[in-house]
Amino acid sequence: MSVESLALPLALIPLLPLLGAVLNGLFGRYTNARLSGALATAAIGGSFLVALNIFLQFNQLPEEGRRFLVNYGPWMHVGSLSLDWSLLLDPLSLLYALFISGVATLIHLYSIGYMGKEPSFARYFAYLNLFSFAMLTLVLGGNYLVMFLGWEGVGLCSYLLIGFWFSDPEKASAGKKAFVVNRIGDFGFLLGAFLLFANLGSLDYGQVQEGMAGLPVGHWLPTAAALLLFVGATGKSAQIPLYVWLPDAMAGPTPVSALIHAATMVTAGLYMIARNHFLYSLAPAALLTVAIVGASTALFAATIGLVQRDIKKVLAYSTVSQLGYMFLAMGVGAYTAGLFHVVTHAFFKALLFLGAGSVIHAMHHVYHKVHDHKRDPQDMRNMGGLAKRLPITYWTFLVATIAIAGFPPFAGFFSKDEILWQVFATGHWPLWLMGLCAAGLTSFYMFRLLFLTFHGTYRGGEAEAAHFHENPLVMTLPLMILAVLSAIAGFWGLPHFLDFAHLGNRFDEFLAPVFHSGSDLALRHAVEAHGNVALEWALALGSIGVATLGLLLARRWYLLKPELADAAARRHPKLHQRLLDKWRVDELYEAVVVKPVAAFSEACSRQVDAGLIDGAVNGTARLAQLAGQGVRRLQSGRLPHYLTAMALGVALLLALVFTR
Amino acid sequence: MDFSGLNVAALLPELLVSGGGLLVMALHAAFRGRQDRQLVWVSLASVVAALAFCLNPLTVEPGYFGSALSDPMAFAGRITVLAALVLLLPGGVAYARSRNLPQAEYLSLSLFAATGMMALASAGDLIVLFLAVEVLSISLYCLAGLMGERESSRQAALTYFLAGSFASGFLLFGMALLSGSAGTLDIAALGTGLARVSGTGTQWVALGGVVLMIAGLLFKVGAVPFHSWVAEVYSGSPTVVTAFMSTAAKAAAFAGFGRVLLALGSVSEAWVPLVGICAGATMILGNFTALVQGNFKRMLAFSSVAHAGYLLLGLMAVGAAGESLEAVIFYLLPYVLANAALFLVAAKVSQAGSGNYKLDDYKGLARRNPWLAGLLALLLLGLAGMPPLAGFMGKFMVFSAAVRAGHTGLAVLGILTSVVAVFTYLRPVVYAWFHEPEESGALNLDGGLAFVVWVAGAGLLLLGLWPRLWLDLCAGIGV
Repeated sequence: MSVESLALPLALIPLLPLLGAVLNGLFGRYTNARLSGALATAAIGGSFLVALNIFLQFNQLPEEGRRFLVNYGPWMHVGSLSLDWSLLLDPLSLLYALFISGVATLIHLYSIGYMGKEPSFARYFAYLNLFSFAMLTLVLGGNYLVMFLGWEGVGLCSYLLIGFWFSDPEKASAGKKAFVVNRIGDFGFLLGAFLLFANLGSLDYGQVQEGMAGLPVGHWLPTAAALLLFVGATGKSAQIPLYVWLPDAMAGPTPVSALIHAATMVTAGLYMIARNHFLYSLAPAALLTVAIVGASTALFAATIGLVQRDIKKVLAYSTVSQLGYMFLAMGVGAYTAGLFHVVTHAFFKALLFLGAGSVIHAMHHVYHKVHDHKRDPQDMRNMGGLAKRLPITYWTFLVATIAIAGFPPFAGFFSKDEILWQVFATGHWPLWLMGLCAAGLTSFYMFRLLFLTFHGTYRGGEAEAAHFHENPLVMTLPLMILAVLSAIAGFWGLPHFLDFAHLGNRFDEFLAPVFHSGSDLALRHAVEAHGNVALEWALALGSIGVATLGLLLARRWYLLKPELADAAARRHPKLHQRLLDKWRVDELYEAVVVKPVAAFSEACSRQVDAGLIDGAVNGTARLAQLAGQGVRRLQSGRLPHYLTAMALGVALLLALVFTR
Repeated sequence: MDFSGLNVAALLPELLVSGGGLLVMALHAAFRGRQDRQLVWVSLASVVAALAFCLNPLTVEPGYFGSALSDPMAFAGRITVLAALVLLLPGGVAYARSRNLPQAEYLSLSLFAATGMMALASAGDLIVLFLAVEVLSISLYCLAGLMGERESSRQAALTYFLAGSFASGFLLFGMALLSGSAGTLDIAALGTGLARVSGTGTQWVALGGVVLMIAGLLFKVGAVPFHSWVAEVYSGSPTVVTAFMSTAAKAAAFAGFGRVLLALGSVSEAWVPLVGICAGATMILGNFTALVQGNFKRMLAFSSVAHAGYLLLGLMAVGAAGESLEAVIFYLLPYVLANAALFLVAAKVSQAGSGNYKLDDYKGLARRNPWLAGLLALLLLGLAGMPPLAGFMGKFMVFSAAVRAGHTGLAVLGILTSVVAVFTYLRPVVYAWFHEPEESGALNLDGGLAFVVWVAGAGLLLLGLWPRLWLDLCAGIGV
């Protein structure tokens, strides 16, 4: 494997979905939904196969040789700034490329069934492919600017897809909110990039890393850059304080929520931190910030998830909370643990969303049959007892629920437990406690969702329930594949205290060349062999314990004695309302950010328009009456004001120069 | 007298365009206005011929006894102005025809204004610079009043004329002080001239001159604190004229004054903070004002003020760190392409809707013409600075030049205000894509407008992906 032989396949990974997007954009409307969807699926599936092929070859390379920077030509060479079109292949980018293209392929396939009756299917598949292109560019990009290109691209596609059903103004405004909040995050990203550029003169990962090499730990430059980049991550990966867009983003089609707002795009912030681990490792203050934000988000979002009634909203807050775990791991320097959770979460959260989509699709179908367009097909209060009606959906959903709740041996247990262990082992026990509480809440709200949706009896009546039938294979096949992955993916990153067969933590080993170099690699293995096995067992049992508590409470409140849940809500009406209102954070932002900005803009506008009649534009009725009096009004009106302002301006400029 | 220094070949683009203007007037008179529909072809022919000579100059020696330069900046400025004309003239004539404006006057005045702009972009001498400013300004005053039966247009013309004359006074006085103390009219020699008087009392006279000249520039580009005329003039003038003012005139002003500031690098500590304060204030005021406009034309007008702020930031970097003008040169072309196309779209959509440039006219545009709505989004996102469109590259270059020159604070302010700008530009896009149309029926573009919109959109994408294309072209032509 060489840079030359890699150039074409590596470029194909992002370019195939781009080609798919172009074809669907241009010719999609002349085909039908199946053909259009098959084309899109083939395009992204091709990317996956190419990535898989590279992965297989990759494993035969020596550890130090697993890094290729492929340069495709100059992009921008201005002054001392030089940037190339380049892609970087190393275990980190390959890992992301693999799971992104893999999960995306399944979701594309599922979409053929889910969006089959949608009139603008071609537009949908073009956007979905375009998103995949941008996401793959983000993770494969060889410098900060190519990464930023993808970074912005995924934001744009997310915006397009959230607002896909644009006839609904609420959905359109959700898209806009997502776009704008993300731009605030991008502001941080760009500032961080400019800071690096100003001080190191480069925006190339390798050169920035070299430039950082000599700096002492805690130096201001890596700290400031790491914090600014983290602002970008909070936007893209929905962390406090910029998480507010993600729950609203659920307005988009459900496969989009699965792909963009659960499995891939929202983990871009994690990728960015992992890619810049050399910065963060030099900046303990920034790392601690990341950890605190992560733990707080994990707990905070979980509390909101407890009471939501919309099935997708619960999953949305769950995503925010799980992303918090990943940032928590990053923040204690356990990069591979965080990334492991990124991957397992991609599987089970995509599965949860697709399962929810399957339910919603079936509910839609039933409501359509009984001609009811008033009830909300996403409200869990309208569901119940669907396990019998949608068996495949139910069983796969159950696997995902167990996985996310953290019961062994499913994937979520291993990855979440590894994070909690690392947090504890690095001495951040308050953060560990927050993580543990969030784990209990996670188990509670997930089983609440499962029981409300699939157990008990259907709350729409028996007659209506007869209309349910399981969705077609094109939708259930991805569910089954993801269920298998959610069940077994944990073994890829087996923690050593459970590693009875001495398989080793393959995940950790795969990523090791990214985070360690040379002598460090060997050293790391030596240290790991001496973990405190007893303590690990204790912690693991502890987290299984809280998960069980959550499960039992959910079972008692929502399955055995449903009246208990209502009674609890009645006993604490204020708390319940606060939770339902999502702690009123949106209202807070409205008051402290949106309103002041609007007021300031109004003030600017008035200043500019001083003396100008509002609406004095071509052809208003008012002006028609005044026609012919223009010159007279000029003499008495604004012109003296303009000229005075200009003279004052000149005086001001002169004063500025001569008083220095 | 030796006339070899005249070097007419170097002035060919200006001569062709002004000749085109004269020809249009002559033909209009000869046919008594009966063949006015054909005049646009005459004008376009002269513009295209000028463009051809800009891209393949017969000579790169300076013309007119050294006062018309042939450096990359001169070509970049001229080509940008001519590109704006190519985009604006066909649409402008259609606009004039549909509103019963005099076509011949519109065409010839536009060509004369363009002559002034091109001369400004290549001026190597203060006298030529002033003459160029006056040629372009006087033509623009007349153009602003072209819609004479409307009060707003008359008012715009008069305001622009009076305020502009006032600003010309400052400009001329500044030049007198500057050239007097530096002992030269040659812009390139200003730096050495000023170095000679450094430390003497004359230095203060020169500084006063520099300040007054900068005031003239700030007025022409509508920057704070000389922005007061913008709202009235930009919204009162016929839309195609506003488009011309806010694109080509601004490009020429930045090229011409950029050269002066480049020459004044030796006294940069005097003028850089000044321009910095104005740049910052302009970015803030322009962006926040644009944010609350419910009128598309005014929104574009104020956003063009905001862009002047970013361009000023690029000019500052030139003064401080000996940076080249590449960032400014690059920024101008996509800005001009996008703005010219957007103003024409605004005129079209408004005419088909309220007639008032209301943002509401854009509701449901995607249903009525998806391609137009898509290109509208592309152009607006380009102005907002979304990668990979050229607007992002321009901003990126300007900000990184500012960072290199040590103006980190202003670069941060620039990035922050461009976040605000996203809100502004997104509003019409959201209306177009995510709202139900208030009026049904397709909204079809005529061929000319479709050409403009597609060319601008493709240009934005192409320049974003290959920014060197344009910079290398300019560097390759000039010396």
